[in-house]
Amino acid sequence: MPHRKRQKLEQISAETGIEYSFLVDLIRKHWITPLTDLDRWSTTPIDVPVNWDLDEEDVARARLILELRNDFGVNDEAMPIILHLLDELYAVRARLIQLVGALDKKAS
Amino acid sequence: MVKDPYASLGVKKSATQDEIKAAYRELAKKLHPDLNPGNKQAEQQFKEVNEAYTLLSDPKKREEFDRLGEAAFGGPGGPGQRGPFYYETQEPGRYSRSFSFEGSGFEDIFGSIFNRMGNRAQSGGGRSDIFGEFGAAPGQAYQIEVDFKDAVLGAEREVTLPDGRHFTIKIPPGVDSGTKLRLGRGSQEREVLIEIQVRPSSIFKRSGNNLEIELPISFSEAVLGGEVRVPVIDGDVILKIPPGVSTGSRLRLRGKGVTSRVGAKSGDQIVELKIVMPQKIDPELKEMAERWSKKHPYDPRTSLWRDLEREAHRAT
Repeated sequence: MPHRKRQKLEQISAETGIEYSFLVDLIRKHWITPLTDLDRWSTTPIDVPVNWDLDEEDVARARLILELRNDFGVNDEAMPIILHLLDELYAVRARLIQLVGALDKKAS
Repeated sequence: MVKDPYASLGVKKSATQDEIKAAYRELAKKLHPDLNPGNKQAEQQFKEVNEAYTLLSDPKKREEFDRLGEAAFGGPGGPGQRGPFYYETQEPGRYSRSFSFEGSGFEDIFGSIFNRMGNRAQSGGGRSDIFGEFGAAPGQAYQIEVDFKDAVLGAEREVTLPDGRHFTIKIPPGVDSGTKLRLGRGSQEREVLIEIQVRPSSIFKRSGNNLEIELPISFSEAVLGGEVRVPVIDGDVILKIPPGVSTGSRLRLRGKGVTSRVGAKSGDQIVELKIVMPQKIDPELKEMAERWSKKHPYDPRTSLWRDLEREAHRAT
């Protein structure tokens, strides 16, 4: 799996304009999960936002959540359902792409 | 150059902020790329709409635009520049990976496709490589990164989760990226799923249960052979190099690979040799090479030309 660049919340907030407290809130709600370095995890508690890093995928997800909330009027009750369905859709999509690839290989 | 933002949103120049917002929301619901993954036309339209909304939803920017016109907002790097959409980061996505298709009918659907095409009968267990690695249960999930070495040899770590629960994580030896560990199984509380990501090593590469490493050797070591120190995952060992090896020659260190289970057969470490010439070719070496090659000419490319000819022959 490709290795993605990770950044601290403050840095992401400064670069994207997404509010720091919003990112912290998303993580506390488990809507995004920071990728944690096991070695650092063992020495510093991971329940402290200062230890959280997010990658490109997390940021894209945070931005999507922000748009769903602000532009689509999705509330906190409905958000996890929508995220769950989207994730499932993408999982199916990834499987399909894999499947089509496998079929192509077999056909050739 | 930005398109006319009023046209992009389909509103009149006199539209109120509320009307602009409503128009944007209406279009965004239809065009958002995460709801139309892969639809480039929708994505392009969404970007335009988004750009237009960014401009018009800000009264100051809107006023400026009305006064100065489009020219003031043209060029790259203007509003609407944003990172990738969520769907673009999803192959394979971290969040979408923990779905199980077992019992969902998904396998059955594709199973019937395979049956119809007769491919399943031909390939035997071929289906498993397509439907193999899924199988995680939904729930609270975390990803952790472990060092290459810890993934090979195993490790143990104390962790505290955001909800305050404390666990000792045992990383079993031989784990690979994507391995999932379950914590808190059987307890009253919710299960936690930990997915391992192995940080790649710049020195070792993993191939099944074997570890591969490239080992630079000197010109004279290649000619004469010798004993050199080679790093292995848990330290180093002395490797005997036979005389006359080439770049690409592979030597095997038995049992120095990955042991995935206690008592199971270990993989090996494969050492691929790479001859490195001295940085400067001095007159002595040059003179020696000239003298030697005059006496002992050989062409290492004989088989290359022969193979090429054979291939050309086959093609005709």
